[in-house]
Amino acid sequence: MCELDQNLQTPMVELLLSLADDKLFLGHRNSDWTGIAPILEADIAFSSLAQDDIAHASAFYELIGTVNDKNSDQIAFGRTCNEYRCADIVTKSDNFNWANAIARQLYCNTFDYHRLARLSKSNWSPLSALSKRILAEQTIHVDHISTWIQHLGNGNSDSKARLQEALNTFAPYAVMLFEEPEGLQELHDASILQNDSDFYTDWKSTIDVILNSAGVTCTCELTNTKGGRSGKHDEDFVRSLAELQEVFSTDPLAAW
Amino acid sequence: MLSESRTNVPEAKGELQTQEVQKFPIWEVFTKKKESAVHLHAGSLSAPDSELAQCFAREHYGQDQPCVNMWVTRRDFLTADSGENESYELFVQWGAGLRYEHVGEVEACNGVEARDKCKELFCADKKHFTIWSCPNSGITKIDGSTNMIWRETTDQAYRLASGYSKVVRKKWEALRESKAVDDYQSEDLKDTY
Repeated sequence: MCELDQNLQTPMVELLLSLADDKLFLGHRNSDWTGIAPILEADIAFSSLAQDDIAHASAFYELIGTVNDKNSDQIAFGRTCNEYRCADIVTKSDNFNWANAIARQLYCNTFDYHRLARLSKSNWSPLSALSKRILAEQTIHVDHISTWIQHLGNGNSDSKARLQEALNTFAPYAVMLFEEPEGLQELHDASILQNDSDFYTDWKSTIDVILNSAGVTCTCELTNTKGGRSGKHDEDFVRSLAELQEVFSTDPLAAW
Repeated sequence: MLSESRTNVPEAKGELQTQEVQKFPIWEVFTKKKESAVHLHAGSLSAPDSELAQCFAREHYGQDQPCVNMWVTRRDFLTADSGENESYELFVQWGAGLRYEHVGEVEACNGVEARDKCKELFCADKKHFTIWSCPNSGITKIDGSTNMIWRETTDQAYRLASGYSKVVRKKWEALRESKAVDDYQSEDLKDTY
C-alpha cells in the first residue's frame, strides 16, 4: 500500500514529525559534546552517533515531504516553536554532565528502538520499509549506550552515584516520549498501525534489563501530561530551536 | 557560532585524571572494505577494555569508509613473544610507513614461532619491513553481515571526504537550476545595487 488516504495524511505527518523532530534535536544536542567529551574516543563516537540521528531525521523529513509535498529542509528548519513535535527530553540540557548525556541517550535510544520496531510493521509500506532499515542502525545505538551504562554503573561508587542521579533527573522527561501524537487513533482505526498497549512496558523492561546489569534503577510512571507532541515546549527547547534555525533563517535558499 | 550552551561549558574539575586515561591500553583496528579485500590496519585507539574498544572502533574506523568486517585487538598482543599453542593471524608491513596487511593464519606455540612461520610461508622471497602476529583468542572479530558496522541504510555520503564535495556540488547544481533561485538572485542584486 503506497497511497495514503487524504484524511490520514495529517495524522501521519504528526506521527512522522514526532519521530523526525526527536532525532533531529537529539542529534543536535549530542553534537554539543564534539570536541569536549570526557575522552577522545568517546568524543568521536558520540559525534558519529549524533550524525546518524540527524541522518535518520533527514530520511523521515523526506518521507514527510512525500505526504505533504514540502521540501525536507523547510520542514526541518522552517517551522515555528509550537509546530515542532519532539518530546522535550531530547533538548533537556545535560549541563555538560556526561552521566546526564548518557541517561538521556539511553532513554531516547531504547524508546526509538521500540518505536521503529512498531513502525516497521505498519501497513503503509513507505513507512515500514524506512523504519525497518533504520531499526538495524538503532540496534547499534542501543548496544553502544548499554555498554556505557554498564561501565558507569559497574565502575566505582562515584560513577554509579552520578549515573543513578542522572537517571532520576531524566526519568520524568523520559515518560513524556510516550505522549501520543495527535490523530494516532485514526491511524489505528485505519489499520495503518496496530493498536499496541505494550509499548511502554516493552520499553521499561528493556531499560530495566540494561540498568539491572549495571546495578542502577529507573523509577518512572506514565502520565497524561500534554507537552512536546502537542507543541508545548520548555525553555531548553526554545533555546535549541533558536540555535538550530540561526543559519537557516539567514538564507533559507542557501545550499549547505 | 557556538551554541548558547557551548559558550557556558563548565570548567573541568579534574574528575577524570589524565593519568588514568593514559593508562588505558591501546587497541589496533583492522578493517576489510569489501568481501574480496584483505583486512588492513585502519588505526589505533585507546579504551579501558575490549567492550568499549569495540564500540569506539565501530564509530571511529567503521564509519569513515564502507566496512564489511572489523578486527579489534590489543596492541601488546601483536608483538608478544609468548603465547599458547593456537592459531595466529599474521599481518605484514611490506615497507616502512605502509599499512599492515593481513596475509594469513598459522598454528604456532607462541608469537615468535608464528612470525617465523610467517616469514617462511608468506614472505619467502619478498622484502618486508615488520610482522605482527596475533593469537586468535585475543582478537574480537565483528562480522558486518550479521552485526552491522557500515551503515548504508541512510545516505552516508557526508561521512566521506570524497562524497562530501559531490553532495554539495549536486545540491548546488540542483539549486542553480531552479527558477526560484534566479528570482532570488535578481532580487538580491536589486537590493545590493
